[in-house]
Amino acid sequence: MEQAIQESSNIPSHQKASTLGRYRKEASGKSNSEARDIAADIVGSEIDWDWDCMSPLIPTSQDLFPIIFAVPRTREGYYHTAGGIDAAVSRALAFAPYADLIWLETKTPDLKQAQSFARRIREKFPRKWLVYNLSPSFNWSAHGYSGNAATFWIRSPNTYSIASTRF
Amino acid sequence: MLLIARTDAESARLLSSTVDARDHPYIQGVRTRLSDGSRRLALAEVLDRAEAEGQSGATIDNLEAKWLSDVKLTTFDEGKAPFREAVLLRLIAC
Repeated sequence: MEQAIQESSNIPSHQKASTLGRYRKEASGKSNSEARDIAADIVGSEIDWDWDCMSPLIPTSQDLFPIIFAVPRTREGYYHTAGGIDAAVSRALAFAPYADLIWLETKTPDLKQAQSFARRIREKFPRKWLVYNLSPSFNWSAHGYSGNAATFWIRSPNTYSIASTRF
Repeated sequence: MLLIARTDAESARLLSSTVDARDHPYIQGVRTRLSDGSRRLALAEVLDRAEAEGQSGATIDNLEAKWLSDVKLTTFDEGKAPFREAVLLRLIAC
C-alpha cells in the first residue's frame, strides 16, 4: 500500500504522506479484505499483493491443471508473518479482558522495550498484571546486564507486578 | 487459580492460518506478478517439482532460499506492489 501510494499518479506528491496516514487510520484494526477495499478506494485500483493463492486474471491452458501461483506459504502450509512487538501487544490487548496475567514473551531481555509494551497494555488495562520471562537462556551480558536476571528486575520495580524467574 | 495469556508473537515467523483478522496486519505476502507480467510459481510447487526430479536436499534448500530472496515478503500495508491496473493495461497493449 505504501508503494502503491508512492507510485499513484492520482495522488499529488505533497499529499502522499497524508494519504498514507489516512489509509493507516482507516484500515487500523480491520481485516485484510476490508483493508484491501479501503486501499483500492484510495488509490483507485486493486493492489497486487497476496499471502495465498490467486486465480489467474487471464485464463491460460494451464488452468486445466490448477496451478497455484505466487504462494509464499511454506510446504507445510504455514503463512509468513512479520511478528514483532506490535503484533504481540495486539494479542495481549485482545486477551487482557479474559486473563489474570498477560505474558508477552520476547527473545531478548530489553528493559526499554518491556517498559514500552507494559505502558501500552496498561494504557488500556490499568493495573493489569504482567509476566516477564527472565530466562536463564538469555545471553544477559551481551545485552548489557551484569550476568544475572535480578539486575533487570531491580531496574524495573514499577513496571511489573509479577516477574517470572527460573534460576 | 490464575489464567495466564502468553503470546510469542514478538518473535513469530510462521502462522498456521489466517482465520483471525487480528493477525492480518502482520501476515506477509508477495506481489503475484513478475516484472514481465507473468505469474510466479508457488514456493511449494517449485520445491515439489525439484523433489519429483530427484534433486538433492541441498539443492532443494537452495531453491527455497532463492525463492524467498527473489520475492519481497511484505505486509499488505508496507507492500511494494504495483497496481494490477498497470499490469492489465500492459497485457491489453500486448
